[in-house]
This record gives sequence, C-alpha cells and structure tokens, in this order.
Amino acid sequence: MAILLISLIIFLILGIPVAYSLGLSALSYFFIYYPDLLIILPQRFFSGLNMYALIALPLFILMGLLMNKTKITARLIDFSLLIVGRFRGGLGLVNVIASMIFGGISGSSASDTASIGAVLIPEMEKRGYPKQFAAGITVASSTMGMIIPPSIPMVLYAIIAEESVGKLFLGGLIPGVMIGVFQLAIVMLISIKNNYPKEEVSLSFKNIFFQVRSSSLALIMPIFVVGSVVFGIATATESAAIGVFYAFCVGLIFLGISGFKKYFSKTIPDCLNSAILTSAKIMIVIALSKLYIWILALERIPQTIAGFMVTLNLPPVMMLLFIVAIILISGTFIDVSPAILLLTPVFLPACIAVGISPIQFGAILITGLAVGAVTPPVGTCINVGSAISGLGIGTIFRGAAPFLAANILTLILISVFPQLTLWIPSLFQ
Amino acid sequence: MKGLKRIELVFTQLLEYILRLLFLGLIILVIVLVFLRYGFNTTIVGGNELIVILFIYTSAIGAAVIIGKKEHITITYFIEKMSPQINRFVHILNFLLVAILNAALIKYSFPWISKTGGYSTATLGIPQLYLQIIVPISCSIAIFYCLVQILLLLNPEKT
Repeated sequence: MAILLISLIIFLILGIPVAYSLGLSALSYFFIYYPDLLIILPQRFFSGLNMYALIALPLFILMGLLMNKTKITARLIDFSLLIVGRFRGGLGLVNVIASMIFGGISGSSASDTASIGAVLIPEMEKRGYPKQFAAGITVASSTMGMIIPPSIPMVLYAIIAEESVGKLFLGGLIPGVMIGVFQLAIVMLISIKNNYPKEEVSLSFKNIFFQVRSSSLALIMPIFVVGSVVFGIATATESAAIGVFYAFCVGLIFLGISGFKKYFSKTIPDCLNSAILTSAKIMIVIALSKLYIWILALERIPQTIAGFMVTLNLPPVMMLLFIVAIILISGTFIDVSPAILLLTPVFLPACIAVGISPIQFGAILITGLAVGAVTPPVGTCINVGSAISGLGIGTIFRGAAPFLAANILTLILISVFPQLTLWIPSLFQ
Repeated sequence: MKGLKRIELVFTQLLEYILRLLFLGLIILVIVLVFLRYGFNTTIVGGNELIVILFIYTSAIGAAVIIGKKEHITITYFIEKMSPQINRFVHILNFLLVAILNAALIKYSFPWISKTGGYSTATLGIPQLYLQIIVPISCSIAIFYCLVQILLLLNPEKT
C-alpha cells in the first residue's frame, strides 16, 4: 500500500499529469505485488470510459460554453446592476449577483471568472475600486459556479457516489445561496468602510421591463435544466442535451442574422473543441483513477478508514469537520475533478458508517473543493483571474481572502446543520 | 524539427476534426432521442448504445490529443521552481513515463481483447472488439505525442 501512496506523490511532484500519475502508480503496484493481474489494466481503463451517465459531462460543459459566447454576460451584469447597483459598492455587489446567476447557467467556476472578470475587473478599476479588490471578489464569487446547480462537479460526484444528480443539485442550492449572501454582506461592509461608489440606476418601469426581458432567456435556462432533472422528467444527460439545444437557440436569437456566419464557422466548432478536450481531460482521470480505486478496494482501504473513524467514536459533526480540514488541504494541491475521484471512495463509506448522508457529504466536498479553486498554487479560478487582471496569484488571493470567509462559514454551517443540505432534497422525495 | 512540428500540427488538426464529427454525432443523437421520447413516445433501437460508443471514442482520442497540447490536469508548482535544465530533463522523463504507461496498456489490451472482443453488444450486436480497439488506438496516439514532445525537448534550439 505504501508504494501506491509514495509513488503517487512522487509522480505528482514531478509534474506528471494527475491521470497518468494515478495510472503509473497503479502500474507500479501491480508490477511489484500482482504481476498476474496486469491484464486487468486495459479492462479497468475501458470500464472507466464506458459510463453512460458521464455523457452529461461534455454536454453540460458545451451548454456553458455556448451560453458564454452569446454575449450573455453583459445582459446578466446589466440585470444585476438593476438589483444591487444603487447600493454602496454597487459594482462589487453586481459581481456577486452576476456570479450567482452565471453559476446557474455555466456550471463551472473557471468560465464564470473568465466571463465576468473580463467585463467587471476593468470596469471596477475605472470606477475607483482597487484592482486587488476587484479581482479578489471576482474569483471568490465564482466559486458559487460549482455549487449552485447545475454544477459539473456535482454531476461527477453523483456518478462516483451513485447518488441522484437531482438531489445533489438541490442539496447545493442553499449552500450556494448562503455563500452569495455572506459575500454580499462582506462587500457591503468593505465598501462602506472604504466609501466605494454607488451606481446610478434608473428604476423606471421601462428600464426594469427592458432589462428583465433582455436577460429572461438566460434566466429561465437553469429553471428548466435543473427542474427537468429534479422532477424526474429527464435524466442528467437528457437535461444537459436539452440545455445544449436551448443554448444553441439562444445563441441564434442573441447574435442575430449578422452573427450567423461567425456562429457556425467559428463559435460552434471552437465550443465543440473546447468541450471535447475539457471533458476528455476529466474522463482520462476517471478512467485511470478506476485502477487506483480498484486497488484501494482490493486493499480494503475505505473499509479500514471507515472502521478507524468509527473506533474514534467522534460525533458525526466532529468527524465531518476533520474531513473538511482534509478536503481544504487537498483542494489546495489537487484540482477539483481528481480530488472528487480520490476523496469520495475514501471518505464516503466512513461518512455513511456514522450516519452522514451522501448528499450532505457531496455538498461539503464540493463547497470545500471550491475554496481550493481560489487558493494558490493550483487554483483554477485564481489562475484565470491572474491571466485576466494581470495581477499575481498571491495578490489576488489576498484580495479574495476576506470573501473566502463566506465559503468557510458556509462550510462549517452545512457540516453542523445537515438540514441546510438535506431539507430541499427531502421536499422532492 | 520543423517538419516534425508540421506533422504533429496536421495530425492534431485531423484528429480534432474527427473528434468534432464524433461529438456532433453524439449531441444530435442525444437530442433526437430526447425529442422522440417526449414528443412521440418512441426511440431509436440501439441509439443509447451508439451514443456510448461515440462517447468512448471521443474521450479516448481527446485524452491522447491533450498530451500534444500539454493541457492535462497537472500540479506544476514544484516543477516550475526547478532550474531550466532540470525542468527540461524532468519534462522528458514525464513524457517517457506516460509513454511507458500507454505502452503497457497496449501490451495488455491484446490478450484482453482476444478473450472478450468476440462478445456482442446488447442491442446493436456489434462485437466488443470494435469498442475495445480504441484502447490500443488511443494509447498509440498518446505514445506518438509523447515521442514528438521528447524529440522537441531534446532539440530546443532548433524548434
């Protein structure tokens, strides 16, 4: 067993892709202990690719990419401006609200950072906000993208944990909104202290009607994509396919006839390419982690950890807080998808053994790993934020740190109060 | 080395074109099945099986293409701290190890395919061989990209 862990750490430090580090580590293990079992290598690899439920993954990614390319960001920002722009620190508040809505459309935090950051960071800087604050709130608020449904990491967790995607989507709703509300409060406090500007927003009926109408096509999308899964009308794959079709149609409407040529010749092929490669990046981790997870099962590691946790006789809350600490540390070094694949089979059996719901654990896992997306050195969002703002990742992290308090507080609350993640799913039994 | 880069570029473009076609086929098929199911309460026999086949092919080939693009999920923190010479050496070692893993997958895929490749899929009746063959194919593509990257790293001044 030691060889499995040590070799994995060495391969990861050497900069070998996570997927291949898992595969090489498994190969070393088989080579040393079970050379006769090497034949199962391609079989496990293939079975990792051969999963119907995972087809939802590239489709959700494509849906987000298509929506992103249809000038939706500007409309959502205008709509958010209408809601919170008139308060002190208006653009900071807009950043959080837009991320909340965007999270319901893209399902990905990195695309949230890229689209909202590209518009709002320069605009906030122009209006007198420090760049560190603007970049910090952009990356911190984008963490909601992977918690608010539909969420790509939630789909991945649901498949690994063999849980209902719909229930997990619902389980992420309250934690996602809580993070948003806490972040709004933090932005307000900082803005009042530093006297950041208010925005002039017309609240005339005409303007409200215009803004709601122009963003309505984007706003209703999460309702029927998530709704179709939650109400059992469609499977996650089917709902993602409907989402892709909808996003395609919205693109046609928003871009107009003049944009058709570019839409079909450039936008769609680019989005297809991007979705395929992003999904393949995750799929290869899944395929090769199958080998690793198979060995963990062979060595009875999940059962051993579960047994150990039970013998500690900790109250479920204490155990969860202990796991939360491990999730936060792991998230700092490992990307979200591989972390889900590695941590779920190790900790879920222990959680189930002490009566913790897989839905609650899933929400905690994703919320915890979302923090990792904003922490150096591997945080995806912080790296995207750095590329957009031109600031170093250390500077952005210092800017994001006050807002991450909202994520940590939410994480603690959903660990202590299971109903925050289980109440809404229980309404749809 | 320019020739090698050119070959890699053309090969990647060809694979990306194939990937787009496969993925487009997958999307259209899923959407058609959804509309048939909810609109007309019918389906295409074997449609779901075909979707899975397209998905496996797309994922396997896509994962190999990413090696050439160096876009796999990686922890780069430690390797970025190394001196340029050590960094280059470690990169070469990494591609070599990835190639070895793929070679092992190819080696052990043949006895596996010869044992189970004759069984047919449940609905379409396609021999499993046509699905399983993607393992050695994608691993061969991955090895090609690893070797190209190693050669390019060994001749940095010429690229």
